[in-house]
Amino acid sequence: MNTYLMLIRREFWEHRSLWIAPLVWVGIIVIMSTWGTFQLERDNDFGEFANAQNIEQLQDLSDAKREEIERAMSYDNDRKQTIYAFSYLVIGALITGFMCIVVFFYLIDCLFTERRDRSILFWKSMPVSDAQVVLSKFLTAMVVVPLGVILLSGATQLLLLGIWNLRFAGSVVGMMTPDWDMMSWVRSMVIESGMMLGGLMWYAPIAAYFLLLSVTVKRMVFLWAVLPLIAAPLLEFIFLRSRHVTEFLGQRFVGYVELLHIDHANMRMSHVNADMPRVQDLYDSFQMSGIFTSLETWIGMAAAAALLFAAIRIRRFRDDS
Amino acid sequence: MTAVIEARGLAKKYGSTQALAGVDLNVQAGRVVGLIGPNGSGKTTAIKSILGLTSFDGSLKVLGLDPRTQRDDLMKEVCFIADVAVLPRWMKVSQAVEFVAGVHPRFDRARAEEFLAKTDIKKDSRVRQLSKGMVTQLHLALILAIDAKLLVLDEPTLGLDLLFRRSFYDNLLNDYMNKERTILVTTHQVEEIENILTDVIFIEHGKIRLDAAMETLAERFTQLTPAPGNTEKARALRPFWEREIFGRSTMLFDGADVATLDALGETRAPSVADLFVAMMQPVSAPAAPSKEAA
Repeated sequence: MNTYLMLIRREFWEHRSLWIAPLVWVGIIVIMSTWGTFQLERDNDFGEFANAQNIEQLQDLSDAKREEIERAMSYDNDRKQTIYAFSYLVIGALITGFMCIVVFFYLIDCLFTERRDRSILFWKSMPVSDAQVVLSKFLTAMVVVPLGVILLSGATQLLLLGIWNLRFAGSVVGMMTPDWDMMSWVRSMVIESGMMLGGLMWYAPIAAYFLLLSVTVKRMVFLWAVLPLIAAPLLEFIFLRSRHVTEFLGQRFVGYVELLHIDHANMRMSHVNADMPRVQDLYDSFQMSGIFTSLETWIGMAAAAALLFAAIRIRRFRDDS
Repeated sequence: MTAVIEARGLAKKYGSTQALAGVDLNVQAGRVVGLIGPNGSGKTTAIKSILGLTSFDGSLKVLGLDPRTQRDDLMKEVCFIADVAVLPRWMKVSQAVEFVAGVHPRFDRARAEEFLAKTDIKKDSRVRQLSKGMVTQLHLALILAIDAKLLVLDEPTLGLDLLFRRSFYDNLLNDYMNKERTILVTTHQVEEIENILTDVIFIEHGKIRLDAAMETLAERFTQLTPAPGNTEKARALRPFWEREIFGRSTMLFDGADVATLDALGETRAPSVADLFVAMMQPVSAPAAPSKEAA
């Protein structure tokens, strides 16, 4: 266990983008959001609502609009929580999406660099097996970084919530937003974690494939990672007039979203909709069990194991010195 | 007594090139063995086989383990320095110490830090900020702090100046070597390590040309500079190598009677470097006179 911990620490020493890039990205999100929040002007409805202390201060308001605002203000807390719950999920998605980019570059680079700079001879002079090295990199990408992203996402949600509350306190917008509800936030974190776990399982074979590329190719690893995914469907269509590869890749890349069975009816977000979903409805719209019971998920996991095994064997037996 | 390295018929081919052609080795504990050969002779392939870094044919046991199938266990007992360029350039000195301490059960962190304290290396420097000599010192500090039974050095001082090279080998002998430890070293700078070797192995075209203990070299090989008029008599004794410079011949004999050679001219024990050159360039006929001699 200590060896794995040290190997994972080593990954963060070497690939500093694993922790620096998400922090920078979160910094950008927080700054942009804060800037946008405090710069709201009266040239749009929302800015007007944010700067008015009560509905009487809103001038030139049509009766229909006034009615909608009053309805939004009168929602019970359970419906108002939906606004925050949706915000939590959007923030989580923004950070997770960025994580996917960072992890992609990490995976294609981590076993390639050690061969390029010949440091593989130093690593191989240590009593660490090739399996431990390859698995530590996989664990870094598929467990440690996602865990960090969940924590970062939670912290960002709370920070932005604090900023929004500070900005909108005492305004019409403030009256439309809910009170802080710890359970709602915890629930969103559980859903985010579940989606993350399901996503990691679903995309595990792709991650393992990138690791295999990283240990195999001799140069231009980025092109090797990207070009076949573009070229193979294209060539199949040009020469065979079929789309099997496209369908396979499409299923592997977006099949995860299909398995979530999201009820999009509950995703409509408007402060003034009469059918504003309750927060419970929003959470219930994520049916994640499909991911864990899908045969495709487990076939993918088996494929990931096979690809990792191949990566370990190649690192062990190829003469990289 | 179990040999530290025991190879029988060690062979390795790269395409059509025979890098190792049936090498037999037997290295005992407590020895400092120099594996010496010209470029492409197979010495690095031999070392890679010993370290389990490449596949090979034949039988090979290192500390009783098969490097092909038991490499993970083997690396707990073996250290190696491939050359000065392999320490990761992004790594900080403190991280290098931290890492080895974290993964090597036989690493003595205090010892490594003690060694580093004697150098100009700063803990927060990255490897890419260090000079070649400093990188070698760092690598050596890491290796010397590991209680390993076998240390394998493949051109460890390549590209270093004389002072660093001398200091490297001094540290190696003073801080690492004892009766239970074994060092296998390859280098081109034969003359610099011959004083520390207990055994020497010459390898050429994947075959062992000489495998001998240093103390037997002086008994077995003699260098003769014949007195004027004795050159033909000396040649009749069939030297395995002869070189002519400034009009005088120098010959090397294997197993010749020293008293007989003494009678023909000036004799002395050849250096390892002389022997190496002689064995790699076996010239039985006199070499062409140099311009100076002409």
